[in-house]
Amino acid sequence: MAHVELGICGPSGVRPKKESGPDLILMGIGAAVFILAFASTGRALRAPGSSDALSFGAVSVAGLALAAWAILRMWRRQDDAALMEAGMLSFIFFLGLHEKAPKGSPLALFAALLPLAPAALFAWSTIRIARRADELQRRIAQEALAFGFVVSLFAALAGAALEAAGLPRLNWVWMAGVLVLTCGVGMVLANRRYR
Amino acid sequence: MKNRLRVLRAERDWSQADLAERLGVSRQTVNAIEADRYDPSLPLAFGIARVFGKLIEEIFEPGALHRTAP
Repeated sequence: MAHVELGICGPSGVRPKKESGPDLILMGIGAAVFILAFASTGRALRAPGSSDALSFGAVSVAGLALAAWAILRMWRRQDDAALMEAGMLSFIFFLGLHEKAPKGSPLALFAALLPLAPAALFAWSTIRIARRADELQRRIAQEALAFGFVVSLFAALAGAALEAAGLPRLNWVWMAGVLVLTCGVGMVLANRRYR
Repeated sequence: MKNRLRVLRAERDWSQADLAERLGVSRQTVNAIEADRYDPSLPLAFGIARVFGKLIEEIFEPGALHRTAP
């Protein structure tokens, strides 16, 4: 059985296989090319009389295909840790991409939905890693999640109380970040207990 | 719960990774059991006994009980 190390917020193979290193770099390059070309496509579409949109569009498709090919290689290798990292990174890369496309256009809709694909990849690989974890790793993950949940809950309650007391409204999107961060702290603490 | 895992492993000249591989768990789990920081589940304890060719009670001995019978 492959050894599974523990990562943030769950038993996760945070160490991708060595062979997946080049694929992760390729995925990053593909995603970067896609984002830059996509932004240029959006600009070209907004500029009247510009004929560059097709060329930029082709480059962005090529970038996306390169990233997808790199992910497919990691998938075939069954490297869940690498897939998890690829999913997380490309999700962050693709967030906010819809702002580069003309509002209400099919391109903007595509860009708005695009982050869901890497998010699904991240979720799928995380669940697979959790299923492969042994009993101690599951216990550590359970303790980390319990810590993260409780601390985040109190942080949310404190935030709501501060808002009610007249402080400026908070952006609750950051609660996801708080949950991940506190789970990470919980993971460090739980790992230390069983070291 | 005390155990003789480290001694039995040393007798066979196995590393923690070797034993982990045989048991299908991580090296961290073997290390935690050896250090008495984690008590294995019953299936894992049976697995350990099988790997060493011994009975569970020859490997593990009960420590102080957390609860006493009424």
